Amino acid sequence: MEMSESTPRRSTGVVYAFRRVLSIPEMGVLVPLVALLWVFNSMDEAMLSHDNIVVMLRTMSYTGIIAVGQTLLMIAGELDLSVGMVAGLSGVVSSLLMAEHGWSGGPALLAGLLIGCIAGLINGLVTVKVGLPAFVTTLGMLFMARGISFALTNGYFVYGIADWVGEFGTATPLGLSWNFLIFVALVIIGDFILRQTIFGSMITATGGNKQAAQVAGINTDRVKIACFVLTGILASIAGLLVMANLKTGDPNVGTAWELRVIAICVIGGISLFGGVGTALGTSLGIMLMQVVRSGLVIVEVDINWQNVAVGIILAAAASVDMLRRRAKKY
Amino acid sequence: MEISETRPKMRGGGSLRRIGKIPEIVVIIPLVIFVLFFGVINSAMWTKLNLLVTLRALSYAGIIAVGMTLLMIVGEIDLSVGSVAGLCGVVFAWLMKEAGWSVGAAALGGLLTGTMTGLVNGLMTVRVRLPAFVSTLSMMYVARGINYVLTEGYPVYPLPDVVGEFGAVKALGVSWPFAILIVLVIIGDFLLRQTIFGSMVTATGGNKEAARIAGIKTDWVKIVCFILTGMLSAVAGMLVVARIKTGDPIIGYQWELDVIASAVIGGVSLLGGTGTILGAFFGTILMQTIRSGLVIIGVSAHYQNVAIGVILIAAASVDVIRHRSRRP
Repeated sequence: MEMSESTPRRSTGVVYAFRRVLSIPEMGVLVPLVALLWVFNSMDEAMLSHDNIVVMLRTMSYTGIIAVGQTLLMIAGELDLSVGMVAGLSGVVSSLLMAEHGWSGGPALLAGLLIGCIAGLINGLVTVKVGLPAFVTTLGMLFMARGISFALTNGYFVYGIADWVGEFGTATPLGLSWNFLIFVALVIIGDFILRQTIFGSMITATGGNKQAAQVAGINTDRVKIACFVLTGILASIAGLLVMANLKTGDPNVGTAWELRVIAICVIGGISLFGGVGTALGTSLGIMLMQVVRSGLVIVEVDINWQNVAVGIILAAAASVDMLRRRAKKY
Repeated sequence: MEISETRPKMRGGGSLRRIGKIPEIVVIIPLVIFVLFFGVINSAMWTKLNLLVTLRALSYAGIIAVGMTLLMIVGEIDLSVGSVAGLCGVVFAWLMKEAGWSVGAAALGGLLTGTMTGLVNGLMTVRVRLPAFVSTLSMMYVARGINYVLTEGYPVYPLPDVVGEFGAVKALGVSWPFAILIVLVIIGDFLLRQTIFGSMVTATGGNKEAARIAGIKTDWVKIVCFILTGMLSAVAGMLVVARIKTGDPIIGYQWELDVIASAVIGGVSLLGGTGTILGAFFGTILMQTIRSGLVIIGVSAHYQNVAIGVILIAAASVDVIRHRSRRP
């Protein structure tokens, strides 16, 4: 460097702003999202029609709500495979209480939430205190929840939930659905918790380097257990919302959700190793998946290509993540 | 310790202690207990018919579990086994029905499909360095998707009769799937315990860096394990197709969880480095015994999953606690 260059020149305004924008981590998801929306819309304008947008937003809310919890959990360095079945079980228990035991809506919904809370607590305690890998614990919980769901209902739907619950589930506030509004609220809260609260920084620390966090005085066990409980509760909320929307308790609800939720998180930039990710990234990941699925349907591509597309996007997103991580080290 | 106690005394019941040291004992004892327990409640459990049915039912997952065990010991995992099994089964059926290939050639085609998916999984995990969880998860989606695109959701039917004979014929009184499973278990166990490749697998899983420094090509070892798992998934999928004489794209749905659970119950550690093929084999038998046993004593089929979940956690906890107590 020449001596005359002692004062570094600042980049000009536009280039500087452009670079700042590009370095935002969520760009990795936002740019493909916008690009895909534009591509699909130019192939068929139904893509961005009001009706389609409403449907897309409602459909993605269920996995989205769970994904907020899974985001916190993955950043803390764990994961939860039982979310789908816990969601189903919550809906089943809640609907059974209303239909066969005459409980009113409020207490029945609370009971549903309690299911998620308990499941999360068990997941957390076994993973953290006994030391089982989260994969195994939550896999066991998956089997148990599925079994209990089906045993309670014998595989049949449960009809007869409280009326106001059903109305809530099919209502259209502001032309959208309650599911989506709850999802948005949770994303905002989740993002706030992660970025602005001490608890959020404890989560990131625990996931980034557990030993260091412990040395720094963070009770990593409690942080992880809390994340498991939160994930369980959010799974319950999703399951209860599905129940409200369908007006029935269905033990099949939640099948195969767990991997979809994890895929969404990875696409949204959450690292499977922990310590990295944002709630905003996850929500963008959800939108991306939904846009891909809906887009393929609208341009009338064979519906089965959706799965292939999801798989490829997942691999691509994870590869990008790996490259960025490697680049950061040097 | 007194000086006079220099030679350790051999206590009576030495052989009993030695049996206790077999690592698979953790699975075999519960297995025996459960067989006795169920049989006491309903002696249908102990009939030959039930035995044959149970053994055939568990063979498909068991075959895949042999490969999954190697993979888990090496420190990786494969979530795509179910989808790959389904895909290979469909390819097998499709090649016979639509392309008119012979059974043997179609089987090779299915096997090749499994080999390629295993290769892709391996390369993604080892070269691109994606966590195995992610790369095999995407393969799961891709394989399932291609499966349904190929069949448009409809089963590939009918298939040449000779296929069905292979699926049902009993070799030496047991079914082909179980016979193949036994052979694979014997080969797999020998591979793991007695061959250099087996020791490379264990070394890579135990401590990858140390293995690499010792000169082991850990990347290559892992890729081979992925390929083997893919091939075995293909075998299992094709055997199911042979049995039901239909290439049904639903085959293999959610098999991966059962296979992994069987392996973990059998003492294979998710963290790598520990486990035996025999263990996974007994784990598979235990899972199926519990499933069949519950049905035989009249418990609602739905409680099977609850039981599996509880046992999975119990078995894994035992494994973790044993590991912990070994450290000083």
